Amino acid sequence: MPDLPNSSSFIPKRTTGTKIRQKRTRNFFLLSIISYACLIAAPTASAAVYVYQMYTERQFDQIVSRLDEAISGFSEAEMARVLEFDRRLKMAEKLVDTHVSVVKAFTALEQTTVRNAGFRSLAIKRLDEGTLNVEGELLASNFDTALFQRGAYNAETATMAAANLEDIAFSPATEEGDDELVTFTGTFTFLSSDIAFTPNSGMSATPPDTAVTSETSTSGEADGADVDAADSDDGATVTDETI
Amino acid sequence: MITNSPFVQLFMVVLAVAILLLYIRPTVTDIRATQDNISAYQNELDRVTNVNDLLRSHASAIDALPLSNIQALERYLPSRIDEIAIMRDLELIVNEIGVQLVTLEFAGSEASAAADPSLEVTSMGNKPIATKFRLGVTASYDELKALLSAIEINNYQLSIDTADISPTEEGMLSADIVLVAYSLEPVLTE
Repeated sequence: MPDLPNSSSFIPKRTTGTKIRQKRTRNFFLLSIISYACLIAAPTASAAVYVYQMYTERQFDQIVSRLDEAISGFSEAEMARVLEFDRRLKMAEKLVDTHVSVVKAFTALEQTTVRNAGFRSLAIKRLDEGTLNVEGELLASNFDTALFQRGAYNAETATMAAANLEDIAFSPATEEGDDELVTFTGTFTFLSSDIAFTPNSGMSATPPDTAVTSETSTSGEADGADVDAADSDDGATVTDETI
Repeated sequence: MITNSPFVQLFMVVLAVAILLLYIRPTVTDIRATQDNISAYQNELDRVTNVNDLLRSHASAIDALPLSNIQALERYLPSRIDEIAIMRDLELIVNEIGVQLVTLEFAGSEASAAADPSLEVTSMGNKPIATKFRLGVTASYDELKALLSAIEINNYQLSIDTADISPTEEGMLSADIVLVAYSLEPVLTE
């Protein structure tokens, strides 16, 4: 087939190169979308924020009114009444806890005083809430009794927390018939916990008639230490003028 | 129809940003502050409610106490000491035991908290007042113990402050006892 000249055909020839693409206005559309989104979102968010603000403010008002109600429901008079009762109760409790029984101290002295020793006088003083001090002038028939008496007071089973014997003096036997006599001053310290008052113990005021404890009876080789129940009323007697 | 003009679109963006900055952001800040306030007020409300509940329960507990117990407490630790009544009680006790009364006198009063700080309790206005009475008797040893025992079991506390005991010529014991009675003045509230 013979070649036809190009210029002779009236049909336009197809170009062999790449298509000429039209430039798209992409940026322009993105900005449009963003702007429309902003235009819708801003008023919507404003409305939502406004509504939420109203909601929180209403909540705040409610809680303030509830707090006002609670505060107005508080009774100062009632509080004062409760506090006053509590104060009185605590103070009474403290007094009850520190209440000591002097009778128990007497009983403890009776139980640790041997038969041939005794008190001529006693001075009791409450030093503080935890301590009771008893000072007494003691008489013993002889030095052996005094020694034994000292051992009895310092025994571990003794109720008193501390016992000191001092100012020891000896009076020899006289021709008039007076026996020899050892006198000394005893200072005894009782802890409140050891002689605490208990209502039941307070009812039994009658003292036991024992002159010495079982502790002293085990070491009864000291002269004159009578381990039997004392016949005397006061429980521990040297002479008639002792307590 | 919305125009596609870039100026209009830019204006819309600027407007949105302006709304965000000038209204939404300050409003959110306000909301946060309000929420913080709500939280603080809620805490206070809880505390006040707890105090009210506690107060109500304590008051109910006090009201539920038998009247005899409240009267016993008031008797044990009265608001003020009636010196005459106490001296009358002491005389009755002495007569009951059957010992010879030598002296019975009022020996003054003092705020005991200053003298004995251990008696202080951990609340305000805690000043117990110690009122002293001097009691002198002549008795045997057993009678003296019975007297002290009777004093110990009294309805109100008469604690022994000091006691001096010495023998008499008649073979009896002379006891000079200083007793302390406590009272607690009520706290004055405005």
